[in-house]
Amino acid sequence: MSNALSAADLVPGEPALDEPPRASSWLRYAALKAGGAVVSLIMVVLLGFFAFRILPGDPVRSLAEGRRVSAEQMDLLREQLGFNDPLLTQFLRYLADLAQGRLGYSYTYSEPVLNLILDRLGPTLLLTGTAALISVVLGLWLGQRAAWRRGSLFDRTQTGLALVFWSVPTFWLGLILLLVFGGGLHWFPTGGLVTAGTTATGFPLLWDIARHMVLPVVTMVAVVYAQYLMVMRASLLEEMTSDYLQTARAKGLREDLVRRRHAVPNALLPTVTLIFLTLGGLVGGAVTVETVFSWPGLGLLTFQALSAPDFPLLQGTFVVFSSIVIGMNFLADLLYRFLDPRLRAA
Amino acid sequence: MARLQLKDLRISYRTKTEGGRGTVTAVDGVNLTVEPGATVGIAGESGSGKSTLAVSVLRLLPANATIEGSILLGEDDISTLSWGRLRSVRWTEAAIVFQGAMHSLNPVRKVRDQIAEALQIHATGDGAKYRNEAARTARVNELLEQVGLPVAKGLSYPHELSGGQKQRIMMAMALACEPEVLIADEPTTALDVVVQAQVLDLLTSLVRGRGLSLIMISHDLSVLAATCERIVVMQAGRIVEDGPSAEVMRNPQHPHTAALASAFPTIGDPASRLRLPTYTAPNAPTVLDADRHTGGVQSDGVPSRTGSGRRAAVPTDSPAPMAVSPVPVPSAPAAGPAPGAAAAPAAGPTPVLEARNLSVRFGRSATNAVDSVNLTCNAGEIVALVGQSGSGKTTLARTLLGLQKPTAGEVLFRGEPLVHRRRALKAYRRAVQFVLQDPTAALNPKHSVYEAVAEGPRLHHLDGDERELVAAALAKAELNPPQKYFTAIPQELSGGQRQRVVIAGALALDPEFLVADEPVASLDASVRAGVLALFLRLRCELGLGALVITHDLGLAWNIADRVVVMYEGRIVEEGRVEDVLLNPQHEYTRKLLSVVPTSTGSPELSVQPEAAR
Repeated sequence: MSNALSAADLVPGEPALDEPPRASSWLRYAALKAGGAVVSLIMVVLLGFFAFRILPGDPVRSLAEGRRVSAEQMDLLREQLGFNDPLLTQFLRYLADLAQGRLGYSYTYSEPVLNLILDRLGPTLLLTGTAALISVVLGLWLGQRAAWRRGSLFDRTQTGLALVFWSVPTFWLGLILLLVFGGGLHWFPTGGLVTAGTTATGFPLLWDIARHMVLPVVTMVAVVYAQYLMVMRASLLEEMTSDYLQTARAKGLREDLVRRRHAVPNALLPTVTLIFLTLGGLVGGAVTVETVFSWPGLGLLTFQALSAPDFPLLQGTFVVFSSIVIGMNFLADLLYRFLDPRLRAA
Repeated sequence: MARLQLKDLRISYRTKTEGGRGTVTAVDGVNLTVEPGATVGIAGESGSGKSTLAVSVLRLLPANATIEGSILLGEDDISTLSWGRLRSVRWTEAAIVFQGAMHSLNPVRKVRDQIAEALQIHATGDGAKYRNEAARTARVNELLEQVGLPVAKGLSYPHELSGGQKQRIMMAMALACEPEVLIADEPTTALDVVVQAQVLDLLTSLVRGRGLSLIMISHDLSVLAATCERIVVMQAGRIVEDGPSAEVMRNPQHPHTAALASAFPTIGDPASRLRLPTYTAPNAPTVLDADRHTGGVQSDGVPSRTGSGRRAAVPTDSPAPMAVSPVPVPSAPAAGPAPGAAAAPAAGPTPVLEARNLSVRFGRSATNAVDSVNLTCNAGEIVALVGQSGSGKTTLARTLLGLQKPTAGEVLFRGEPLVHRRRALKAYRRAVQFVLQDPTAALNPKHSVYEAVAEGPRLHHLDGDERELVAAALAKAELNPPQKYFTAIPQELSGGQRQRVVIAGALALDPEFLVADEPVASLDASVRAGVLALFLRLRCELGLGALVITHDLGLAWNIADRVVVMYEGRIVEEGRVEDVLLNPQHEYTRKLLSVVPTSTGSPELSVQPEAAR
């Protein structure tokens, strides 16, 4: 037992032991998360090849459908498309192509898959991006209003309505909207990105696209905004009893400032992860909406590839969809750390 | 004229339960006047209405509260003020220091921004200059210096600060708009004793330097006595006692005041040694001795009930070395397998749990959390392990329990090294049970009391009727009649009852030793005494020893036989409670003792090393 401690050791100003924990480096954190994302991507690439080979159906037969094709010709076609090679050889070819940035050659469109995807990526991002932005803003805004006035008429009607839309099947809602506002009332065009055969440019073109977007965007928003509303509402309710809100009120802040400056930033933390997780999924979920509204995007392309089945095209869209989801998760990780100072120390 | 005047104040909450609507009166007809520069302490247990009273000064009450009577702050009647005017009064005329160590700061904003926010909102009139950002920055820097924090700390987020630092930030924030009245709501709860003393010192000097009126809320009378001139005791929404601090502490008029005071014993006061309101140790070792000596001063230095003699005599007239292991174990589980067990109790202490050169180091940390610790816990003795947070006491306990692997050294149970294999550990964990700090968190909210207590016996396949086992364990934990509690869920029990259920869960396994981590830290004063009495009774009547981890030296004085002081992972002092607490040898022990607030308001008086020498 030593008495060697001097009085100065004994906690002069503050105990030395409760120095703040040091923040780990951003770079290390980002590298770690990026590593995880790359591993997931590799798994997706492997899975993408084998998963679609399990699909029933013979692509060559469906290509030849409705045409007079002899058995020899079909064999020749199989040979050309490489279906007669062992699966392993096909797989290695797929990997080799992928390494050079090629996603293969679609036999239904007779075009490189990459070109097809790049053509369709724009419309899909336009549609899902718009829908995502609207549903996130709408959901979060309604959610925090509902939580702040829990039990009020506003809260009850908004949560009820959101849950009704959430439980409605996407294709059904799309079809109803299409029938009523497209077919019946003729307020909006029934499908496509632009009016067929249009030569408009500049502002008239944008206006045309906007009109075409209304119904698919409304369908997507209606189906997904509920989850943002519910999560925002739940996490704000959790924050509402926090002591720091009492501090803010005691300081003399107006109630809406207490909410905006103190409660909402904290409630956003758990919400952000969810938003990014679902954004990735939203792109994949475009398949139904794009099919219903004949929107020339990746979703429609996937649908068409599935009905063939067109393996290279399916693999391509699968890899693209998955990469978007993985990328969004990666972004969520980075953003969450940026938003929550407590995680920077972890 | 008075700074703050509460006139016949009555605050009630409308509640809605299954039974229908009702009202709960939190504050019931309180009259209180606070003069400029006065310091008033409000004491009471949870539910006494003291916190409602505190926040009502700024009308920070939930929407279901109704105020009757008047709250005069300066010239404004807070209870009828318009919202706009109320907001401008908040923080500029009265500010509150909340329990900042916990969650009173916004976790995602830098602390200096939170201080500056108060300046910014009230940038009108005298404070108009704070519309300018440079002026605000200068003011925040000034405030940080006044509370003894380096300016750079202002750029931290709350989680990057220690409890004491956060409390300093809270004080800086409260002083920002130069209020006349400062309300401190449990400002030092959840802080270490040493840090608590620093925070109280700072608070006192800030209040005195500015001539502010201070209203301090606490459940701990000694803290109030150390800081305030006047103490007001509340019970069930009413003021039951009001008077100068020294007077209230020395000569409490109301039984509730006395109960509150006794919960925080004065170290060195024989009236609280091994003695609690509901149970007094029969002084088991001295029962035998008393038979021989027939009365007089008992051999272990514990004064007899009649003896109110001076403490100073104690160390010299305690000849019996066996006082360290005072209880001859009645039923023999602890001494069981040891050879010659029958003779053991008389021969001397039986070590149950030992640590030999035990060290624990976490990750790449440069220092050991536990550093070459040697510790022996004997059968049937209560050992108090004291130290401030971060001293390694919890890590030591976890290692003793086999929940943490030691980096070096070993743990011995009944003289055999502890094996870190599943089967061996299971048997060991049955014999040595753990009681956690927060019973609310330790109990599964969905399990009934019966389920909670029966879980252990089921896991260990104990023989015998399960209902009887559970009932017996509950009865041992003084939950009588046990059947009444079988179907209760934790939510329906009080804090003290919950902790008793946790203890019953441990007792159901018929353990040989208990390890308890701050078993009463989360409990109210009166409940605290009851739970401590239970530990004392278990030791005296069942011979069940315990290692009690605590930062509370009063607890050690209340129930422990031996005390072990830990500092920075090492044991710096150990010995009999009387020896260590009355005649501390190590610098750190003296420091710990010196910061314990005492009834007289001057901490040093409780420690009388000179008298003891």
